[in-house]
Amino acid sequence: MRDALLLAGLLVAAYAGFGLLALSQPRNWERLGRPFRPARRAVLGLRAGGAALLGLSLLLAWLRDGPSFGILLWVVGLTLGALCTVASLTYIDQTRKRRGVSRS
Amino acid sequence: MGAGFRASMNWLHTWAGVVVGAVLFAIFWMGTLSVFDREIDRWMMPETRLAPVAEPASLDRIREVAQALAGDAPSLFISLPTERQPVLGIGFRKDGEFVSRNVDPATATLLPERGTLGGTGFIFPFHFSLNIKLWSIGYWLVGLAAMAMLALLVSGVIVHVKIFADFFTLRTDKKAPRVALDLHNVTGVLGLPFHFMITLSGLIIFVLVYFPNAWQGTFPDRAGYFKEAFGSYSRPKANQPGDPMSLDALSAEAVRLWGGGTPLYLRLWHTGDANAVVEFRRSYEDRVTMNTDTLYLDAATGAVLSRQTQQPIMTAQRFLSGLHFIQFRHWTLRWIYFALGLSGCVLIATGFLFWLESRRKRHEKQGLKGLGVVEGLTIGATTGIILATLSFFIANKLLPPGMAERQSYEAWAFYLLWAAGFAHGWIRRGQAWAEQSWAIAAAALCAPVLNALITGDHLARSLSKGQWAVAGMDLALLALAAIAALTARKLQRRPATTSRAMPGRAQGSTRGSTREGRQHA
Amino acid sequence: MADIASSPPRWQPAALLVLRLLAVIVGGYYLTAALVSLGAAGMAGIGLPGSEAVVLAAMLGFLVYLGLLIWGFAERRMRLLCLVFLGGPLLAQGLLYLQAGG
Repeated sequence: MRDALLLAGLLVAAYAGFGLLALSQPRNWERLGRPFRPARRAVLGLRAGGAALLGLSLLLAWLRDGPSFGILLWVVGLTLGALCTVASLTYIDQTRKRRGVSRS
Repeated sequence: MGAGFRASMNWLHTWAGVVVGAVLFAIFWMGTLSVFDREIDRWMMPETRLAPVAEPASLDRIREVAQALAGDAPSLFISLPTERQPVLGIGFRKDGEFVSRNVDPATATLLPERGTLGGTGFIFPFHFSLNIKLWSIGYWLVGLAAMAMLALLVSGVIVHVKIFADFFTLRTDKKAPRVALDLHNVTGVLGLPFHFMITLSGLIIFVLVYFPNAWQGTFPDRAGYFKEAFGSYSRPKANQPGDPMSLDALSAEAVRLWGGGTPLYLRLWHTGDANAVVEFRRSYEDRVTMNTDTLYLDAATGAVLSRQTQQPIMTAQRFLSGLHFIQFRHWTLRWIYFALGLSGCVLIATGFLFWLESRRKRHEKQGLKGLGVVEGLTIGATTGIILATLSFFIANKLLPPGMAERQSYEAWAFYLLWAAGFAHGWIRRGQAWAEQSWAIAAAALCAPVLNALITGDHLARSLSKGQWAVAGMDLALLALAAIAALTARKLQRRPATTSRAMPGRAQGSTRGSTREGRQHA
Repeated sequence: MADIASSPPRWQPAALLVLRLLAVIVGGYYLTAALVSLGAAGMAGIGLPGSEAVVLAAMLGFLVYLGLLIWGFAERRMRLLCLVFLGGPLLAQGLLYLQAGG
């Protein structure tokens, strides 16, 4: 149970961390359908938050599996989280555009 | 970084990719499958679908079984059952050939042979040697492809100027070349740590294969290096009959010396002789590092003859090897490796697609012929090898069990279909994508049905009996069938993106692709 | 990546390209292999256990070869390239021969 929770935690942290990093770029806000240009301080905040979540993900991986398996799990988990972020952005962008097309 | 440097890297990335891409895809595909090679073994060898046993048969009993079969073979090999491989293995040399058989650990009886190489005997060695044994050409080709992969990763990063701006960008509503490039960039950049690590560690496993003379300045001969690095030990025969101790007692002694570590396999040297030696290799199931802890015990007295423990740099090498081999027990990592291996396949395939789609119009206008060659190559290398793998699985189910040379017919089923995949790609070009996708869907549906009909382990049964390997393989095949069918339908609905015509780029496509190239280069 | 015609590298003539491919891939390999053997001997000379030195040098060898490959395809000065990739292996192998003999 503990292992499953930590695994879920580290993957969610990686996903959310990359999510915040993505939100620090105006082009990704556009793709969400909410054009927005974060202010410079907000950009820094989002990036710091994202990095902190990625760090948290390392901590959880370490707690779950110790140093050697933990770091390995973190490295591959990061890629998985980032790929999920990309998939979410693409999915949201696509459904929004499809809806937009069907409405007009 | 000057413009000249970037242009050179662009050139290197483009042409190294086209030249070695096909081999790289084969290596990545087979490597991805090798993540589950033992599970594939269970699916292909129904005789070995055994429930795990708590108390395996005694090693002395196994030795009797092995000796009855091996006669006066100079050495015997016994591998112990693991979670992923519920059978005992015995092996020995007879008439110059290595014979190996599976033994039921519960009853110590020989299991009937299926006559298949399976995942560990065909797919796994294909991954690192392409199954070309002649002069080790296969190893060198794989090594060269791996070095090319590293060069592709480095040059790809240099060529890709907008790495951070495009970090999360995958636009599926753009034109074919742009979608292919987005997907190539996303899998390449996000997967970079994994791909670099897995390629470099794959090379590092074979340090002494790729640098066979590395010892030259340091040791007088190769054997000297091996003795120090791996603690290989041997002593001559006494040529007098010996009185060996119980193997189980020796094994218990090994466990005691390792402080609880269990053996993975053992080798008996000079069996029956007074100078007989038993070699124990420690299991590395519980750690990333594939340790080389080896114990040599006197078979008659149990005295320690030689004991190897690793030094720090060798440990680092074994750690890197271990993270490539994933022989450890960690199902989460195993599945993530599988997923990232597939992302590597996507990376290579989309690289080819971008090359093709960004040139198609211009090449047609200029009357160049090369595009068709590369397109056929891509089709055979990607969908073709998937189809060939499925035909290997189907042949495994259809060929009769007692057939002579059965395993070579299975391999032929693979190679013939692969060759057919290339031929079909070159003849049908753009249409071949959808057609091969349909063929994959049909074959991937066929394989689990045949498994159910012939072995009786249909999904309901394998799931309820906890046969996860068999059920997982069936489910993965069904998933592949669904994905392939969806892809094929999509390709046929939008023939424009895959066949020769590309609407929306009616004119100025040369300019278009140059712009894209500049954006990218 | 898209369009090589837009920026033709200077080594277009086929013979030069073949020379470069052979020099960088084959010559680069022999240079690396000799450097690995020499590097191992050197590290063993300063006190690292022999087997450790061999493994470390061989592991680093892959990165050295990678660096040589990248440089070899970026360098425009053909003479320098030939000097390094043809002369380099000869020199390094010669040193190794002397070192192993003496």
